[in-house]
Amino acid sequence: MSGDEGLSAAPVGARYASIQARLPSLDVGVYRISLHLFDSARKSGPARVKELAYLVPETLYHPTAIFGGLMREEGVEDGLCYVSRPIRAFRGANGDEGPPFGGKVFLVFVDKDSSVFTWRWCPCCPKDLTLPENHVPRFVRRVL
Amino acid sequence: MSEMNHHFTAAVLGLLSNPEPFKPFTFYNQEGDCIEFIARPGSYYEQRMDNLVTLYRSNDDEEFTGFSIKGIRSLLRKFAELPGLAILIEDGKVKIAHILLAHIMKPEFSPDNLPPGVAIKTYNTMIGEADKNDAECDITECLA
Repeated sequence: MSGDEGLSAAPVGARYASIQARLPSLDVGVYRISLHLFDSARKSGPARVKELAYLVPETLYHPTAIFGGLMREEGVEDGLCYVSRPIRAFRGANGDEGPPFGGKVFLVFVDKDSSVFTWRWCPCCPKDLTLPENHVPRFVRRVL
Repeated sequence: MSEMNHHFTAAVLGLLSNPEPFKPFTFYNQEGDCIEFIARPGSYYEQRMDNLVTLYRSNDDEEFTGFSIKGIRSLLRKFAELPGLAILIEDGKVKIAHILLAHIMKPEFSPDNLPPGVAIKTYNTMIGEADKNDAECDITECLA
């Protein structure tokens, strides 16, 4: 787990920002996020920046589910996938706020070293609209 | 939301103060051990092709937006078993289209294993877009 300082307290040149999250234990913990991902969001435009600004912290703090164990080509990798159904989404070239995208949930991925490494929307499971499609067998287990 | 996350949100929104015209870009996501290629701006959702490749489609109009290739370190280990592929890595950089080509040429790759609704031509689109944009990625960190 990273330190408990906020981004505003991060020293100049710091490679990571900190963000609070609900852990599978329901305790509150701190994850970190590489500033390289800030840069990739900026390059992707306002919608991705606003997803990072609003939806990522909301999903980490108020997940509807958390899955553990990420399937990879070479086997299972430790890590977590946070799931939420946001009440808003950001659209178009300006990232205008509007209602959420229908039939989709929002995912935030965290690696085994407590680093957030990506976020995006995903079609939801037809049987449970709060979960991502193919969560079985995509993830090893549900931890929340 | 916690004070830390308020700081996080404010800092991320600060990225909007220096907008730049969008250009397709590629980056190696060290935490996720994946290469991401983003061809269009805006919010996207995922469409998993297999355990290695995830396609991104726009939430605005369903169009191709980009893709990620996971497990790059493992992939490079496999490449090492095929000495001819080493010539594709030049000064630590590799063309994204070459990685996709190497993936689909593996003996175990089968279009029959693609998810429902995903055609092999989707790979054509990904390879074509990467090629058109001359997308390459610095994987020096993985080669160390």
